[in-house]
Amino acid sequence: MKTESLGTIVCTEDGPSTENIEFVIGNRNEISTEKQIPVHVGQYVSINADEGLIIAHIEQIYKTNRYFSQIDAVHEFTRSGKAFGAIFPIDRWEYVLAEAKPLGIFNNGQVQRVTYPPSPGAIVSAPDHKILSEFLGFSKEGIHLGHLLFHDIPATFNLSKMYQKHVALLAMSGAGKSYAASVMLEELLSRKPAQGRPTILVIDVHGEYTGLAESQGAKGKTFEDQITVIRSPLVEIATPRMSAKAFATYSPDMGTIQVRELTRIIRTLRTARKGQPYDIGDLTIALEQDPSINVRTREALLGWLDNLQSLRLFGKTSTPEWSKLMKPGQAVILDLSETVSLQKKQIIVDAVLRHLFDLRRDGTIPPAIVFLEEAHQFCPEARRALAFSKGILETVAREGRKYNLSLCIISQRPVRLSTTVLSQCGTNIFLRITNPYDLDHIRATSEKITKATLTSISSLTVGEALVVGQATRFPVFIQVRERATKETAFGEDFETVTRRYDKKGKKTD
Amino acid sequence: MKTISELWALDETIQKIVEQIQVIEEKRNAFASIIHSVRHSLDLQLDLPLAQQYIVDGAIAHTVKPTDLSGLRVCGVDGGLLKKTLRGIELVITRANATIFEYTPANRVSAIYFPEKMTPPTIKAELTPISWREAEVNASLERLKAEIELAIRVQDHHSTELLLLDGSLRPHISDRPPNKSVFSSKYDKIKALYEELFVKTEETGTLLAGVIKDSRSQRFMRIFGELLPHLINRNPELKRLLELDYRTILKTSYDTDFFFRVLDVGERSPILRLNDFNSTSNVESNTDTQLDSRLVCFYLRTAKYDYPLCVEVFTGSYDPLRIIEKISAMLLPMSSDNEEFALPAVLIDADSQARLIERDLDFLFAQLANRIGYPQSLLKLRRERMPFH
Repeated sequence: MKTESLGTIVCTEDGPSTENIEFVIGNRNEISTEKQIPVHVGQYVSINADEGLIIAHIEQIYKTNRYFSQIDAVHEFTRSGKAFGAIFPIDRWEYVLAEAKPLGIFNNGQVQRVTYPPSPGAIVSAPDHKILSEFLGFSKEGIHLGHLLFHDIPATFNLSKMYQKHVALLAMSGAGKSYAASVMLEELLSRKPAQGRPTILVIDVHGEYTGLAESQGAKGKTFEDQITVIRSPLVEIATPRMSAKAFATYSPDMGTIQVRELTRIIRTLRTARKGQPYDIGDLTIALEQDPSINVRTREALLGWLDNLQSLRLFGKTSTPEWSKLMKPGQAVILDLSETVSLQKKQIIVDAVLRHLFDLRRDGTIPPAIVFLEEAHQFCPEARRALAFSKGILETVAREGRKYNLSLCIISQRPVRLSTTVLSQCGTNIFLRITNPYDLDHIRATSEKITKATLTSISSLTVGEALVVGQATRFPVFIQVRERATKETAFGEDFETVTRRYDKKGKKTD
Repeated sequence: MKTISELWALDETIQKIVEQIQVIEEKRNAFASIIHSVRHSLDLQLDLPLAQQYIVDGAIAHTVKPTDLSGLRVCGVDGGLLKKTLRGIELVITRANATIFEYTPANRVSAIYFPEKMTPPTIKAELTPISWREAEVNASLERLKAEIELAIRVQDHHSTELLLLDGSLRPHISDRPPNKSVFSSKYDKIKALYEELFVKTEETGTLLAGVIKDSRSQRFMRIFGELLPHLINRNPELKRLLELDYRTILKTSYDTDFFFRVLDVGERSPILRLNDFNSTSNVESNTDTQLDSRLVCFYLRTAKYDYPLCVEVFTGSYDPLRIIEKISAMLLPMSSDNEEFALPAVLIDADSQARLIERDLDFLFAQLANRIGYPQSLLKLRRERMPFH
């Protein structure tokens, strides 16, 4: 096995130790002339040590140069106005020192803890691709999200490891969340029956995912036969599926007496209808005609039902028929972009998820993955009354694993996300996040996030992601691959859209 | 209870030192300001044997026109030294290194290091019982030997326009071993090495100069003191010197003190011949008087806030004036980048390369002890083993 030598381990006050090694990068001259950067923060290196092959992760890189170590000397020599390099051979004395954290020992396919440090003077090399891929826990088949940053290694994650315990895709606005989610969707939709195909629901708040269903992809790829787009105005919630408690969820001021009375009314109506569907209008009539109900209770219930009726969400049956749409290898994009009211969106999400949870629990639909855009709107950390969908989302987060109903929550404000939901996500995919409150929240909810990792998150560039958690043995930085399907107008830049709009205006003038 | 300042009589002592400094500085300034005003016009080449013998060119100050360094290759040679005296052994570690600067047209300096970038040190052990003075001489001679040998050798491998030694082109008077010393032959060998170096530079056509960092020479002060009565007679503007106790000033000043006040930045002193200079310098005479006659020195002011460089030059068979013009024109731009520190950059680099640190010596001592333990020969001196320190 031929590996590229990168440097040599040096002694420091603290190392080399099992926790930290520092190595000086070799062959500065070659680097200088060829303008190559030999190592990067985030890159992996290997060291042959007594215990076996140590794989380490570069956490910091420093440069040193004896000509610049004394402030006063530098100041005085630069006052002449000459470039420092015209006075002294500064290039010859620049050394690059990298600080790396040993992650583990790779021995015959097994990963073990590092319990004995490598020796000073040991050679640090670029790791063999196959070994590194195995070490990090990449899969040969699975969800191919891109490639490992600074290494030409496909970043392919095992489906079960990634989705068994939910995924959180977190990033600031414009960092590429939807793009990365689209890549995940492409991967899931590309699976063959022999590989196992989950069904997918995408809760698309801004209509960003409809491009997946369009026939002209960037690389000619299309999933139009596998995707159904459901616009929110077409969604109807089956009133007969609603219990009094469910109504109470959407009318938080409803008291126990009102819930009890409504339960009785619903039961009476169901008996009278003999299995025939009914809607809120029917329920209102039944309530008005009930002789035994207290007048005040009736008036209050009528008011709440009227409010719900005005949302135009509740019908006699469920539309669409989710059990028929949610098939293996099929995706439903629930486009909420036409719905302005957040309350209404939350009710839709709540109702659909409750229905899916039931369908999945009784095995009517295959294992499912729910992509939830702008998740902080649907399961905020704030009290339940402010988000009707928070309850079901926390239930799915806690219990969904048992029924193979997985969440992929996508958010630009992790700090506003329910801690319960976030902490249940086994895999976190971070793109660039700079908000310090968001970063603190991430640190608090994930034990695998170190301070150094947190710092890296804020310096990621668009398209770069950090994957942490169940899907991988160690945190990995990846470059998200190019998507094969068409990007929606949201992916276009401001100037392009403005130009197109202007052109359109000229034609009509 | 008395304070430390009171116990030591600190205020009085310091005040006394301050007053001494102030008096001498004032005197030197007053003397120098008179000379400064005539520094370009005063002609030292009097029709006197002393002037003829030592002074090459006339004026006190000469403006140097700096040369464009682009394309030049300059070599700097320096040596590092560490010495440890144990009960029965003298350990001497030396490292000589040559740095070759190539000034590229792209306004960059590239460097070559000879024999290599990280030259390993040379270790010598002297087991013969020797006196303290001999121990000092031996260590110094070892460094000189390493430096001069390297200066000769580097010319076989690299061609440069100018070769700069860190230090004099002759052994210092303190390097001469006492009579009947075991190191007399070593000393003679070093003098021979200097001669070999001079011959080599003539063969290779390399200009050779020694830059003395902290010269304490009073050579010019002594010569000037002899010439000054004649100069005062011939130059009415110098009559004011008679009001000063100029003889004392000359006696108590180093050449560099004088030229720091008299030269402006970018000026050099007159050229002085170094032949037969035992009486006027601290450096040793060479056995070959013909070679001695080809050694000159001058002072060059390159920095506003640092004293001038003392430069010794081997002129070979060439006209000293032309050689010094060339060398000073090169030294000025390569030493004037720092207003507070005057030394050619190549020698600053060579110094860093050659420097040895105490840790190297400790490492060597530990290696010896690891092999043979701590026999009497390896016992550290009592002064280094004092209890309670």
